[in-house]
Amino acid sequence: MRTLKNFKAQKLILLLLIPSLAGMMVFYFIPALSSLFNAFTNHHGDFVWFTNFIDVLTSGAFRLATQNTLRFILISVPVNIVLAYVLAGFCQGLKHKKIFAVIFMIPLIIPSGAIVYFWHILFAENGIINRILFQHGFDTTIWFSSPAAFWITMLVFIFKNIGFNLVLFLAGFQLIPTEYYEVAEINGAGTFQKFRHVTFVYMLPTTLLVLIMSIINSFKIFREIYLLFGRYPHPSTYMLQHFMNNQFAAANLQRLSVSAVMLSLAVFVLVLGVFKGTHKLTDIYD
Amino acid sequence: MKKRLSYRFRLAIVVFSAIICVLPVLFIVLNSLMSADEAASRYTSRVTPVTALGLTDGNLHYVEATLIPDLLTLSGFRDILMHDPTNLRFLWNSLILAVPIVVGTLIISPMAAYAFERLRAKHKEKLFFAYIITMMLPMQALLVPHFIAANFLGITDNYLAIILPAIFAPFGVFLIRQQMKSFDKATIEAAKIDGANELQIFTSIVLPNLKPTMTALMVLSFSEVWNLVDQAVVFIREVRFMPLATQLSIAYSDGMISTVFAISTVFMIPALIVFIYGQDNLAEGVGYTSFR
Repeated sequence: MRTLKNFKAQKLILLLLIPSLAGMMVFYFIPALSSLFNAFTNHHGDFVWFTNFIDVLTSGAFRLATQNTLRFILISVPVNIVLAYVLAGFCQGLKHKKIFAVIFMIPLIIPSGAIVYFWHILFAENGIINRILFQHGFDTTIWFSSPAAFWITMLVFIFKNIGFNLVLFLAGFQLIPTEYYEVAEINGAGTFQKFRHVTFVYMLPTTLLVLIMSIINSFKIFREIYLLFGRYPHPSTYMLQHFMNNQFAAANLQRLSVSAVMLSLAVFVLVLGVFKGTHKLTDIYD
Repeated sequence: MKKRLSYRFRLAIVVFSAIICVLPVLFIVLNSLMSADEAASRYTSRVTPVTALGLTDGNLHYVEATLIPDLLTLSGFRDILMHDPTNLRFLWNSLILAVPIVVGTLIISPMAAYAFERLRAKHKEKLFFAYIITMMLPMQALLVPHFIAANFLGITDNYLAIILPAIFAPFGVFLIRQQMKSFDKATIEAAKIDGANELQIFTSIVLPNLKPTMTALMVLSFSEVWNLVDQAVVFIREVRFMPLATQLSIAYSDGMISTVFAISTVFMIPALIVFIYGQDNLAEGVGYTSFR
């Protein structure tokens, strides 16, 4: 009787999952399998082992794109996390903490397209920065078509994404039981020890969420690059997303699928590592 | 040990950062109240009779940026309506892309999240892991899958090719499920003993308690799709069907600078309304999310 009731309950729960699962199957999982098929076949459908992979890996465009994407993620993600953490720490204990948290979310909420003209005015050939340089007798640069384009992209990215991380950190701080600091103090713990044994342990899940979100958001940088520089950005901002878009436009599904498969694999390894790492780290302290 | 940083110092840094966060918005909104002539004389890059008096270098005229226009006027907004209605068309495109995606996500995600939390199935965590991987991939890595699916359904020349995959995007499921983990299990058990079935528990106990998270999801997903660029530049061929976000980068190259400010301001308004509506719940809604 009881199991029958449970079975019925489970059936009802399954019913709730079906819309999402069906959508994921139709738009993501099943077509991804045929994308996998593309990666290992030529355009006649013959199985070609890793020929497509070698083709992509040896292409200069792919290497440039991978290099730029990695460079971007490896710099922007840590900088963003550290800045957000420090700023969240500064906000902690301020009187109007909540108001500041709201203000810091504004860059995320405001569509990038709506403020792109601001960046244009700042960095354009006749923009504010060049004006100041010119007035003081320095050489001016066309920022958007120089390697500085990469750093402008970085700045815009950090500007946009720092607020969300900050709010996550602020919420994370609230989950730390304050008694723990008192206990640590009674036991004679110094600032560093308090950080290591209380803050670090309690902030770890939040920090990992922030890490995951920052990586997701760093992949969305294509939008800002497109808005700032249009369809043909400076080579220093040529990302994997551009590479993949170009393969799509050229109808080279093999190359596109190969890059997608490799990227998915990289993300898979990364997330698995984060999962395992979290469990290990929290196991030590729990 | 070093002493704690003083309150004033921390406040100064925070206030300074806050100013940077609102500065671009203020700049665009305030400049949208500028007359077309003033905007042209301040921001045109070429030397013209109007700009010749400013700071120039050869044929280049440097901008004279300001936060407060000399003359306040709404003519920029009038010009959008009277002279440049294509922007309104783009705005409309943005709207009919964004609204179905947000509504769809808000319906699909909590259901799936609840199911993931309550289902006792062998491989559900593996399936959820697949959701997380999918969530993390850039849209471009999913181009082929989306294209194959759209082809199969015959919707390649249709907004549905963008809307449908976006509705099922797994971020919402992830966000809500992480929140549900902190939900009091005893309440659910009590309702079960009272004879409520799973659907009743979901609709009358779990869903009402998810309000902050749902609001946060609404704000985040609206701000995301209102700003939709990646999908549009790949899937939409004709310019007249493009959402507004894609057009603003091209807009500043041609003429009418005051309308760029005005349309950018109009573009912010829906996002701001959604944000102001949701900001109270935003921090709480994402707050207890953690990665465990």
